[in-house]
Amino acid sequence: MKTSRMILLLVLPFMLLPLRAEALIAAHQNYNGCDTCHSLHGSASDTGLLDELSTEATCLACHGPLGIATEAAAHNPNNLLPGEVGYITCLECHNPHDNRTNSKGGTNIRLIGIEYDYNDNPATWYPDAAIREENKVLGVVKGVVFESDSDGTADFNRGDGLGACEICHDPNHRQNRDCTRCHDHATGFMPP
Amino acid sequence: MKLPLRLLLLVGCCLILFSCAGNDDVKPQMQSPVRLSAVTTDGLWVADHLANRVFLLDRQSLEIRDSFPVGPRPAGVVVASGRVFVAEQNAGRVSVYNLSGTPLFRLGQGDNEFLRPNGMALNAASGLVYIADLKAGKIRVFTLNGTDAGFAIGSGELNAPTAVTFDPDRREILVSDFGVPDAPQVRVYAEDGTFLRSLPGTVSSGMLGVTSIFSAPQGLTVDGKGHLFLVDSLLGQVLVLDELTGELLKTVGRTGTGNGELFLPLDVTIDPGSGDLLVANSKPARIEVYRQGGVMP
Repeated sequence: MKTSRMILLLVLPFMLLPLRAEALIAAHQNYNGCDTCHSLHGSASDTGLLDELSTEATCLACHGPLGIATEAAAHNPNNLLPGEVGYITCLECHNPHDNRTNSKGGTNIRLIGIEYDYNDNPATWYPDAAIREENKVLGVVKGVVFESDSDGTADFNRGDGLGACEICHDPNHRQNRDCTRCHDHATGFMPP
Repeated sequence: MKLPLRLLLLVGCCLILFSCAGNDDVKPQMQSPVRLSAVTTDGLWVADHLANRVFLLDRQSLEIRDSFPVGPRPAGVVVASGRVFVAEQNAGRVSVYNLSGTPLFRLGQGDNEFLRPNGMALNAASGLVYIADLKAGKIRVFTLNGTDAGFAIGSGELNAPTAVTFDPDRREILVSDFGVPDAPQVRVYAEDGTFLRSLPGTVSSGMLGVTSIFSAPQGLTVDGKGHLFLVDSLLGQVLVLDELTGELLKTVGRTGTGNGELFLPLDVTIDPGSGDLLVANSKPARIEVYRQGGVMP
């Protein structure tokens, strides 16, 4: 009995840990590790475990207007509000827990790429799959590549249909140009 | 020219004129209200970060009365002596306009005087304006005619100051600071820049480590009765704290996008006449009003 209790005590902490503890991007790790976004005990908020709305708030508290980090806004051409059908969250292009290389060998410094789809059973790993909510609507999962293999800069418009913007937009519009030169991420990629 | 063709031309011209007249009536709307001025008899000035404009709202109805374009990515806004001071974040400057939107002058050297200007506050009695320079990690101080006051507040102490307010009764400057990692706080200084006290965002709570009171402190204001109203953009709430001890007394609002709910709120002010609490609710692009929300027992 004592032995089984001991085993249970030893196993219990591991059962409480998340099933998948993925890597954290260096910038976030260097700031305050997991505690930058998560607070398991004693948080004033309920963001210990983040839902979609609070995840978005977590990103934008630092990356939104007047935050302390690089400013960015989700693509929102129809001015939807978080929670409304069709609203694009940060997580549809970015994964804060993923700093692994993408399938093309890029460094993935922008937290884009490899993603598990936990809705699939068993969970499916889509290398470089992003904007997956839209892809699900379209019934297609495309292997989107966000970064140049050589210098790690973002590939928004490759001309081969695999650039991030090409999922929905004409690949022939300013082909091989960085879309964000005109369509600033801080404005949700809207036209200048 | 044949009659049908003339008629067609006439109709075409009318349509063009009509559509042009319609465009003139389209008033700019708020897209991302981020900072608020103090409420004055003129109304409430609002800096809109994405519209690159400042709006003047009617004090009673909060309808848009006027607006004018300003520099890129406006942040803090302060109104003093019939002038509107606007922090233009992407140009690293604070520009001063008259109430009609005519540019008058800029603080200091103008462009890139600041690394990343954010919130601002007015010390009317001393004729000073305070500017939180987020990247420089300090509060810059300028006179109302645009010259550097010769000293800064919090140099080497502040980590990422987002917003600042001035308590005219206690003659103290209160600064929202995201802080060193996991140590958000409100730091309080005397007018000469002497550090007085810190209101921490996290407090020790025994075996469980720390308890968080606030995480992402942004705009703040005081009611003159010892209460500090602080916006937390992550929590989506206004926290009412004891101005001296930092004790959490009350919360206003909750996170969400419905009426009365806050999503990425960034600033707060109190209408001294009505006691209403006004919050810049940036993501839903509106000003949220909590009737008598600024009145504490």
